Amino acid sequence: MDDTVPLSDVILVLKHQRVSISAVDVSIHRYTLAKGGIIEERTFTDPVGKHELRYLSRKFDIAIFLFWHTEMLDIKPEDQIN
Amino acid sequence: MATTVLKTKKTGKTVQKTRSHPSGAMAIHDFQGTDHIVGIGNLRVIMCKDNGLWFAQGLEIDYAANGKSLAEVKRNFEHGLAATIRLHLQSFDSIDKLLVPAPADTWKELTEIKTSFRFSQVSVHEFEDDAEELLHLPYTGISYLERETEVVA
Repeated sequence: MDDTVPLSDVILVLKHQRVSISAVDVSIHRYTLAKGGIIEERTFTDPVGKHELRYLSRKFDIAIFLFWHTEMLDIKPEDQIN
Repeated sequence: MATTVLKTKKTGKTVQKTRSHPSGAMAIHDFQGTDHIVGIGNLRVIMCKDNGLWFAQGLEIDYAANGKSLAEVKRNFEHGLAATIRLHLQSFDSIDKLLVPAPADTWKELTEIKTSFRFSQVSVHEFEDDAEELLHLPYTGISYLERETEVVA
């Protein structure tokens, strides 16, 4: 099973979950993410792997079930990681 | 990193903060006026590969990166952490909020050993900021711990 998600979908979810995103260098997928006192510069691959998704979910408190519809994570909304 | 500040020195206008972890990981933040020097030592980073993507997770500092190759994920981790330190200095004038270890379940998930780790040492990460008022000196002793098998999350 392909456990990856297109970067554009991840960016969409992050914005929807009110994570502040500032593109540092779009050409190499470097972004500054900020939410609730956490601020990081990150480099995303495209597509984004499940470990990265879990990290983002945990660190930036985004609901992982929003990714669920993509069927890339075999977990249910109640299993979301925060 | 441990939450204990082991040593805080104030000498004139210079302030130095050092934090260490039982594993040997340590962070040093020294600044004078607007000039900052940050050093990270003996940080352990777990790396695993899944679906063709590499993922690197810091243990004593909860920072992670991914990449399409081993070299790329290391580069992304080192550059990303350095850039994140710069952001923290710009935003908080401190790296204290960055010195938080990865949660225990993350450690467990990534370090559960079914096969042996291959240990390697990346010696120096040099970073010079383009902003004149900030200077980050090298990271030394980032220990990359690589899983030989893919991880089922």
